[in-house]
Amino acid sequence: MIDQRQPGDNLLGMTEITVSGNTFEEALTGGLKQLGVDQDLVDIEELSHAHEDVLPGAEPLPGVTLRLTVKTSLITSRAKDHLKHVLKLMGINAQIETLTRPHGTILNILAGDDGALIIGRNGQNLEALHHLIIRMTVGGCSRDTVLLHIDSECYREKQISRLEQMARHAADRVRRTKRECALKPMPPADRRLIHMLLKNVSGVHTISRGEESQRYVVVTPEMGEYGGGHRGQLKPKHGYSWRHTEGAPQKDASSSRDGAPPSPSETPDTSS
Amino acid sequence: MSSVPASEGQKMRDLIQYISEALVDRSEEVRVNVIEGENSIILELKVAGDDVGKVIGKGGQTAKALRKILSASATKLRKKALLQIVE
Repeated sequence: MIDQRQPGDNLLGMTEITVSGNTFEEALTGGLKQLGVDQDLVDIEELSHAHEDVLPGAEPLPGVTLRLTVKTSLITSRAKDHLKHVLKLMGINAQIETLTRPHGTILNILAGDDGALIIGRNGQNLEALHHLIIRMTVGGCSRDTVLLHIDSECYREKQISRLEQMARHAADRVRRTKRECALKPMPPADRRLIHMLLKNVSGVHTISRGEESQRYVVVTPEMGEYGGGHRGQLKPKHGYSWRHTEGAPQKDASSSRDGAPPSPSETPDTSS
Repeated sequence: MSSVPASEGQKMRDLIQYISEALVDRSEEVRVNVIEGENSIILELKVAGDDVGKVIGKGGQTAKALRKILSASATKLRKKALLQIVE
């Protein structure tokens, strides 16, 4: 069996994959690399010693197939220990509660007066804490496999509802205008959430563009291979950019990058 | 160690030491030097050559996060803290 997951499924957080290789080690290293976690954080199940799906009569290929399952609860408890320790060393007295949500596990820090310090401006401290705790728990090259969030006083919960609203808004707009719509640059966790939210929304498609901290989500109309609409890629702007680009023909999008937003009066009704 | 209560620099040293040890592969080689001034504290973090990338992270993200957390806890003590990663 070959792993049949689509690349997009990563967005939902892979907790289980099936990998094959010529040897046990080869399969294992490949799988761990895909998941981006260390070996002690997965359960390994050997499914077969050789590839079975060969043509009748053909010589069986040598190989091993493994199923790797991420130990989510172990990761959560380790992350919680690290977080507790870090907060103590920061001189913050706090309680940590574990919340389970459909989009992952949340470690909620209840810090009373120090809540603002933990969240930081625009949630920056929370983001830094999240980054460090994940690195500390799952090791170096993690590819955001673990859907673990760190929250304080439900700041992120509120942030999520803001993002949900933003995603709905953008999707409505794209469906109406048949033009792509760039959102502002966001951290990976926020981008993933937008992708997840719009994954099952018909008529729209999401991709990320840009580099590193400036990566942003673009919501595009779904029409096969995104219909050659790449002549003028939209650039992200500060704030919610769909307001700024409203009504702008796509090929002129780059010229309206700075300064006056084009008038929102004429809404084009033609599709491509 | 001694019975003297941990100084402010010491607390930050412990914080950086703890986080760095969890980040790197060779935790026994993590060293943190503290240079304490009246209003500011400089921390020098030294890790094994192969581990430098782990504490800096992709595009300096981990180093940035370390500095954020450090300055957050320094704020609590009304001090400025500076983290330097030395080779």
